[in-house]
Amino acid sequence: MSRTDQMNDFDERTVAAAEADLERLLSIEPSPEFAAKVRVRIAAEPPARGWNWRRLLVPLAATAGVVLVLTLSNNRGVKNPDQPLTTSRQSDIVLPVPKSIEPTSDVPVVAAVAHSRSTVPHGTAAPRREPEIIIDPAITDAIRRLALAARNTTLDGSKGESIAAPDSASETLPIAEQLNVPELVLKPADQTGGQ
Amino acid sequence: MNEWAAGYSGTFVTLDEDLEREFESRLRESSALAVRVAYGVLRHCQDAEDVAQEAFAKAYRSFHQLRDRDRFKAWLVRMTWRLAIDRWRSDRRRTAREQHVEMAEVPTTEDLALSRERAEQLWRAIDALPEKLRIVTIMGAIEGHDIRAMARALDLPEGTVKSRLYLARKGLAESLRCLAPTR
Repeated sequence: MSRTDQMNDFDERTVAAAEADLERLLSIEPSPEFAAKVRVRIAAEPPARGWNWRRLLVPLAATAGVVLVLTLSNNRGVKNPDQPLTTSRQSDIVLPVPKSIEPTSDVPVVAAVAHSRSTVPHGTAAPRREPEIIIDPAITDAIRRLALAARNTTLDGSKGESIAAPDSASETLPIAEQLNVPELVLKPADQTGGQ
Repeated sequence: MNEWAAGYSGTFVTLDEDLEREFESRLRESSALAVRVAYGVLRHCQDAEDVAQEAFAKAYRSFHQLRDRDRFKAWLVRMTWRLAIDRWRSDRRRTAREQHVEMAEVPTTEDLALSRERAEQLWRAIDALPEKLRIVTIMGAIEGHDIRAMARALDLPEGTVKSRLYLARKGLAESLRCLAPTR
């Protein structure tokens, strides 16, 4: 069947007769009680007036459940509000004491205390953990003296003082002798594990 | 509230009075159309009425949402057609059996004028058409081949209806060619 094919007279008459038959077959009328049956059918429908609150029930219950679970999981994080919260402390880093410098004080200076060792009240966020650095009192004293000296020093331009490097620094640096590095020889690893 | 809803107030979706009145008039003027459309698919008066009633009940539920009331007919035809197709598909075996029952039990003067064999051949030829062409053929028979009325009822452009009707007629001609000598 294509659009270009024309129907001949015979086909036209056949189709016209078929269409007439079809018209007669379809010329039925609804029964007199048709409208009444439609009303009964509509009346049998479940009522759906305005906003149906039942539709909200399921999403509301689901939301309440999620909120409850979240609340419970948050409370589980704090076991006992009355018990003080202690945080673990990392090992202290102690700088070595040079033997040439005599300590001026017997009490070590705590330069940086990352966190308080006191109890943290319930509900407050724990402070960031950082390592404690304990600097020897002698080094602290030396640094303090150096800082004071740097602050009190003024450069006298008339005497040729400057922060530039001395002229001798611009001279060519002596080249060190060539390093005599023995050739690297790779050997297979000991399969016996050294036994 | 009018007579429509008076007996059923409080039991079903209630439209306001204007809408009730409008729906009632739509029901009066379009019930034959809905029944015929359903009959074109099901070929059984009782089933056709049942499907048409279901379509009207559905239409009532959504009637207040229909913005363009002029499209009610097209809306109803589409709904009835789909419901009828669903019914027909759900119980295909019944169709052939009830064609005989239909002719025997509910004889009309029109049916008597047609031989049973011719009617069956005609329905078979219509069933052989694609769905788009079939509904145009049925609507053509219902609306008396008024292209404009068909286009309005099917919510299609008139050109589309014309071309589909032409293709449907050609398809019918091919299917019915074998019947001609017996006519």
